[in-house]
Amino acid sequence: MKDSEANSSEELFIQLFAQNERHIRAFVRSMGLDWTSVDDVVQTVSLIMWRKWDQFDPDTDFMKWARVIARFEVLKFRRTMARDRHVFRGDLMDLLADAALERDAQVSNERYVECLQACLDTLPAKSRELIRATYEGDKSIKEVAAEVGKSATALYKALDRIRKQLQGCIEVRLATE
Amino acid sequence: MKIDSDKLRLLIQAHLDQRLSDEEFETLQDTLEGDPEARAEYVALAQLDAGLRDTGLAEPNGAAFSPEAKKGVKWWAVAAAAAVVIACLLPLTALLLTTRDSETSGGPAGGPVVAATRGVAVITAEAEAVWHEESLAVGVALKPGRLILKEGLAQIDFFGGASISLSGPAELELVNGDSAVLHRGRLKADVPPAARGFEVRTGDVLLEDLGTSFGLAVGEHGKADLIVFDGEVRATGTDGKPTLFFGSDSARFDAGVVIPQSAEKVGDFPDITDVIAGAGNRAQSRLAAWSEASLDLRRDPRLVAYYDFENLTMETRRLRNRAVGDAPSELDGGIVGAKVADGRWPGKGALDFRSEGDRVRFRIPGEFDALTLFAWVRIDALDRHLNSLFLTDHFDENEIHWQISRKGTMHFATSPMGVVDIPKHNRRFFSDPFWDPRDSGKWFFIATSVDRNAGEVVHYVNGEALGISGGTQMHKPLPRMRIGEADLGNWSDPIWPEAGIRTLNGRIDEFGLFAEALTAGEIRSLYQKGKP
Repeated sequence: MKDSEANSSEELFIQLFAQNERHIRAFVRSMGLDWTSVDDVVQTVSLIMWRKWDQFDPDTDFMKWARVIARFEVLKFRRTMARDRHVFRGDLMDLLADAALERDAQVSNERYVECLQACLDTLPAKSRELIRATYEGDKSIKEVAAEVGKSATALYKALDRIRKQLQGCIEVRLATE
Repeated sequence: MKIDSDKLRLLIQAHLDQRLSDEEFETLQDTLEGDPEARAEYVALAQLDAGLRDTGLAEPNGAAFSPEAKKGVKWWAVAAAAAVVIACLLPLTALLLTTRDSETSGGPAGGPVVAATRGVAVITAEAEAVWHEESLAVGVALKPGRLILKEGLAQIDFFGGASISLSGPAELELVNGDSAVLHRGRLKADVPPAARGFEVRTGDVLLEDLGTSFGLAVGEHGKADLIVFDGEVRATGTDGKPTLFFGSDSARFDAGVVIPQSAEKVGDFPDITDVIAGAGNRAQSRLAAWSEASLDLRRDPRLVAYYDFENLTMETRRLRNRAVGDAPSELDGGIVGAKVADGRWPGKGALDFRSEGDRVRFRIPGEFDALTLFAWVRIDALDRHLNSLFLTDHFDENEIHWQISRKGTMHFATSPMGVVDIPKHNRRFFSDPFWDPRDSGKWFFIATSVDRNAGEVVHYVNGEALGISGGTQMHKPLPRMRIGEADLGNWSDPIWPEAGIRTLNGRIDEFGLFAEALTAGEIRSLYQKGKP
């Protein structure tokens, strides 16, 4: 008789991974890697997590376990594969990971993302459009600037303003929840 | 080294956007190493960046940023992204279906039914099978529930490991990966050691297969016949007393009572090999039908070029143009790298595009007020941001680009200015998404019709028009279109070397262009004639 627990264990992995992938990506990003490298590292992390899945205790925190593996893999990636010349030194990446953990201890990424979503809703349509044009897809800032009819410098300035606004809004929401 | 907070923010954001000078980078690195508050600031901005990026990826038309998008986390998009990663990990790719939010739509034109929370079995072969639900086909994972096979044969593999051949008309109820109820019809079960204990219930009798195979036929009034081909089967009726049956034994079940009988009384059972032979015959007859239709198609006067991918060997590096015309071989394609492979059916030729250099090169002269591009394509994965179907070299004035995005949307683009001032002049038309990783390995009929005078671009998949999900400058007039030098499955002389790798990962076994915008009916007919 096939062990019916095996199916749910695989399903549990998929479920947990799917739910948390974005948080793992955010964590790797906070250590200073560019998005292409983030994709590479998260792919490796997922493979490792799958291979070690039987070592994971489902009663413990999935993200905590994931972050330990991710941190290790980011540093490993840095030693062997870092393609961009502006990659931080290993010690600094470790310190950034610590900072990310501290931040997560105060506010989980999940809550943060919820507040971010709500704050995006409060932005005026033009600002939302700028954010969408910038963050969705792989266009360069120059292309986005051309599309919206601004100079690149003006676009940077506009984005900075919007990001500051978002950060302020998120802070307020988190404080009042 | 202390710098003011505004400058720090600028440096941090510039690092996230990869636009620092070396000197600025050194400054930033030193500052971060020495100042924990600066690091906290970095992490905060990185978190915002990640949040905006991953939220933005949720909807192709940016609906995530609309007030209507109330859902905090785009579960399905995240799950789909994760599913791509997981596809490499698990042999049972059917499990991917379990991650899909059941609220999402049932799939693209002609796509399979999305399994809800738990798939328990999958259809692996068919012969002339007619199901009660049109969307059922080979490769579709099945959730618990009733299956009605109106006619024909089908092979169903249960996730627990057992495999059955079902012969219609039949009604089978799937309970879980290890058990089913046969309400009527015939089945033959094949139970390898790992799946020992596979259960089939009928009427009030429970059968447990202890390895290896048996046949069960349920007829009128719930009367059923069992025959054990090989191994052991335990039958338990309403009295609760189990009886063991061995190879060549037979029994009749009537109102919950188990009655041993002579094996001659039992009729024929469909064998899995019969199903596969039947499936093979079906493939042969489809190939023959397509062949005829293809010969017909050659003579369509509206064709610019038509390639049937037949009679290819590793030595022939030419893809022959079959369209009848003045000098058809001028439009032959030159095969670079792509390997000869199987197409929609065994015996159908195709080219496999995989390595970065794989392509078929064409030189197609002429200017067109209308075009219809069509191809039979098997996509194995959408590796690139944009994956080439048919891309003219570079992107010069009036030239066309036909490709598929990573999100599974079809793109058609053309610009009267070519690569100059792309954002202002490039007419781009994106279809609704039609492909996701579960569709890997399936053959699709893809077509796009372009009519300059009507100002219309329509994308079709498997004979059905897709909606347009977005684009740019769609209201502006289309230019007189040109092709010239172009690649099938790749992009030569890309505009941006970094983002220019667009190699298709998959196979093509038919491709053509009409100098007219075909109607929906004509495209549907092309699909019907060629569908596997």
